[in-house]
Amino acid sequence: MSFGGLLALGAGALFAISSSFWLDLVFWICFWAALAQAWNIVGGYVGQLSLGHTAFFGLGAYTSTLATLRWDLTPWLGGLMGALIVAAVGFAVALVCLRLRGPFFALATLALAELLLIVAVQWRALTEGSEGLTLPFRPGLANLMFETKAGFGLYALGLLALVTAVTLLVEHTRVGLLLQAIKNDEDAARSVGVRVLRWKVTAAAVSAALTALGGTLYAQYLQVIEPSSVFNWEVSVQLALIAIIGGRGNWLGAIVGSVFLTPLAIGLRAWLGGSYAGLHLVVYGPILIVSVLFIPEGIVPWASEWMRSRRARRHAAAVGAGA
Amino acid sequence: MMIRGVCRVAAVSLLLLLVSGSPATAADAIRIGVLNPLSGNLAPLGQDSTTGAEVARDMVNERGGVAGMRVEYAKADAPSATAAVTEAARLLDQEGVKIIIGAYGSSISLAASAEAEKHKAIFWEMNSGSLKITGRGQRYTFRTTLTFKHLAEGAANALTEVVAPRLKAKPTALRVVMMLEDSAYGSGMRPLLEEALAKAGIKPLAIEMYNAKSTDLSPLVLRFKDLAPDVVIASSYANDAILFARQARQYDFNFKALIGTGAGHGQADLVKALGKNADGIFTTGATLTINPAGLKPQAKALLDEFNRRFEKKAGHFASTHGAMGFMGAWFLLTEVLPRTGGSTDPEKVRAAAYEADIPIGGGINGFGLKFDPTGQNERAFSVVQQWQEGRLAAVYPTALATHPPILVPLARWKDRPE
Amino acid sequence: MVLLQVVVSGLLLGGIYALVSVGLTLTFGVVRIANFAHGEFLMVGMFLAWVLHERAGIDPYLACVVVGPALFAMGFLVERSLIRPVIQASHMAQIFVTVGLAVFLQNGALMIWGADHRGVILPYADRVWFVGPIVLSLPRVVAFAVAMALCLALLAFLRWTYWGKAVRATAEDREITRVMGIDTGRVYSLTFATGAGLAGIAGALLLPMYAVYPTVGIQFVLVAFIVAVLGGLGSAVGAILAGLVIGVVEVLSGFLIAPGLQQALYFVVFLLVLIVRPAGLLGRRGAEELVVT
Repeated sequence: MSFGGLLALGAGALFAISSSFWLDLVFWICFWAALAQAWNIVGGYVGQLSLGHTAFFGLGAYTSTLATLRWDLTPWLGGLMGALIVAAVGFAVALVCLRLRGPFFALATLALAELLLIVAVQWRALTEGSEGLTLPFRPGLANLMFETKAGFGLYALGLLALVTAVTLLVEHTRVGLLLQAIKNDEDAARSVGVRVLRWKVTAAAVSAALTALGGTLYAQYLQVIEPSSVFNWEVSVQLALIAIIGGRGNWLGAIVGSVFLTPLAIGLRAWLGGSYAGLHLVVYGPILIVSVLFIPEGIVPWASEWMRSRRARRHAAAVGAGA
Repeated sequence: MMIRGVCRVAAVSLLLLLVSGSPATAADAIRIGVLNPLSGNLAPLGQDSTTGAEVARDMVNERGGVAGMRVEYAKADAPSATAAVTEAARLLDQEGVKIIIGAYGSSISLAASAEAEKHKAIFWEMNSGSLKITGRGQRYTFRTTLTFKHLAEGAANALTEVVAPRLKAKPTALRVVMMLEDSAYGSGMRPLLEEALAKAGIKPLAIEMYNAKSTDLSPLVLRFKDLAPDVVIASSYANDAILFARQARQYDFNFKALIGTGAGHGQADLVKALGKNADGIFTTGATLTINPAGLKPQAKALLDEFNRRFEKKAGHFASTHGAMGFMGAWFLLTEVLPRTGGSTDPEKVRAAAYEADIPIGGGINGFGLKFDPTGQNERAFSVVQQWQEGRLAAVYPTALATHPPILVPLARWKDRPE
Repeated sequence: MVLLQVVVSGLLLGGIYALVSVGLTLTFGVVRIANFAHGEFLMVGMFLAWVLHERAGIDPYLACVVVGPALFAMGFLVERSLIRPVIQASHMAQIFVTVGLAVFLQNGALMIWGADHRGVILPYADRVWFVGPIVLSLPRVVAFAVAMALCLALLAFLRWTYWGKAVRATAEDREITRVMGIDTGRVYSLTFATGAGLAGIAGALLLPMYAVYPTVGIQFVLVAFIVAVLGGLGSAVGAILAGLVIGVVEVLSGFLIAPGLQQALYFVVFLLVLIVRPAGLLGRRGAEELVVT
């Protein structure tokens, strides 16, 4: 099974590499792939654009971190708490917006993210405001913290595996067919008796919950969270971007997208950021535009289409030659 | 089928990446990493800090380098905490440096220093003031500059030693309000300011936190105007400092003194935007201009050279963060590394750092250098400054002052010339 | 009495919001695209005004005459080159093209001008008028007046000119409008370009009061969207009214509750609007169904 193959490849890389920089890179690739994959559930399979997934991300990060700091709860439970709370929030937002057509879901999630940013900054009693929260470094599986970057890499890989598994589940079961039907033609689906709103909202809640787990992962890795990094518009853009460029609506898209884009972003900043401030992002913008304009479905569908046509041409040539 | 192809490509690329990564080393140069936000919101002062550090490097190299070796920097741009982790790892692994100097922005410093500590590499903090940086027990983190606590104490001193006497009032009788921007800077300053004021027996009438990026601070101005305070204490960045001053003028909100705590109130932008209306505003922090009597002669010559070079390189005169970047790098290159014979081995650098002993007045801003057990420079301090005729003058402590304070109380807006 | 001052300040702020949003809402209604680079048009306009002041000593208010058409032209080019190819594509493609443009413009500005906040010093910028106990700051009043004048001119344009009616017709039903012989492509360009031009002028109007820096557009774009939705997507009059409402809400909540929360309240308002009346103040019920035809 090729999903298993990719997992093995990832785990193998983590064991083979010793350099801290490269392990960090693999971590971020898996991290962003997991987040993009989560976004994909509502963005790719249901076709509803969320521009505020950072709201769910940040809520997850804060919940698990506060659970650890205030009640000494293990991040396993704290993360789960975060996922459940965020699922409820995602459910509520989706319920309000997904009955409307148009970019309302996108704008509402965006507004929610900004609102949570302000709340996190102002409610100092709970969050210590902009100074942020720091997690003490206590390595151990129970604390979801690791001595080595490879350990964190495995954690990220594990989350990616979880989210991909959920995605595959959606793809290969009746659920996937239902969501596909909704995405293609909502009215037709409704007329055939599909409970459109229910499915859209559930997908949104699941997507949000998985993103919250990503927030917990981030908090555990960096050990410092503050409002401006976890309720950050750039997080929302990045994770949606990866899913879109890699290919929405299929399980491999987010992974391929992250493998291409994450090293690109990090590499561009490393080569260009030091000498010319902002140059790496100036390059990033056009890359985004070009890929949206010329490969609108994403890399994976484009690549598989290209491979298929190549095979067809080769087959036709073989048939022609044989004839 | 296609997926297998992708896997193959991915595997090959990964292998290529593994093989290609190797740190560059030149046997005859000392390489140090410089990490600052060079893009994004914190860029102006981050760039200043890196520029200051570069001036130090240039001056050191012209004087023969360190132990006969050239000093080279590997620069990194870390606009956020997330980027800071990656960039720090890159500097340490790919560039092979064992010392990272930086960084403007407490959250960036916190993330980068944590990463350096995991590598057992030196993080040489030159700019950020959050107490947490040297407060987490990290063995390899040193800070050459002052902390938020110094800034808060400086502000309290400005109030009790400079403003109150000139108003012929007891500090405890003064009506004080505080405004703080709501990011890590203002957030960090708040408890320290409250503490410093409490020690002087002062309780502010109001403490308001606002968003530095607001286009309109009239709610804040109007709320304060209602309270009719004597003194406003502010932790602001440049843009909001300017906006507040302008809107205060527009709404005729008068106060007898405005005390900033560094950052925005110490930047040239204030004068550029407010012109004469900047005069009289106090700020605290590391001085750019200090009474020569307070400096050792070499430090004075150094200061002149630094100011010239910085202005030439950056196109504007050095901010406090530019000076701090210079100061931190200069201390490292001229006081610490010579003791290790030019080696950047973290254990040697650490030992050498603890041996450093420069008296107060030895640095261009009057700082000395002596690290306490947590890695904090004990000889960093905050000086109360005031804008006078478009430049910052040091006014307190008197031994380091260049000018006496002026314009206390400030003239009412209506009485000022256009 | 202070309350009255607060409300007046809010209205003045709201005038600017209205100007920034009216172009955005029209683009929504006509081209059916959520333009996330809208704030960047404002930023570019602001920088242009700044450059004109620094290099040629031109007053920002006069510079509007240059900035408006310049940004109009820029909007026109952007529409032709970037937006038109994705008109028939999915919402996502459209939005992400504009996001990519926003990132490019912000960082292009960063590279050209650096991250410093740049302002202009104008002799009259701190002048105030007193109407009874109410203080009116000159730049804010001028900005409000120009913004309102432009909005009214836009409304007149939409109501009484040929192309204005073409714009409204396209917003209602693009297919039928095309069938009736109107060049909808030109309508798209016109609408988008007008939105850009108005945003650019708003930037020039802000310069006397506020510093310009590469990321200044980000704050405005979000408010612009909220105002557009509150007013009813596609309704220019709605955007104008909603802009004023949001301005007052922001300043009032900052004064009554806490300055730090002044932005929070309009997000809450936004979410409430979505729950209670997603069509907005003046949108037609059901008009929120923006289906790409």
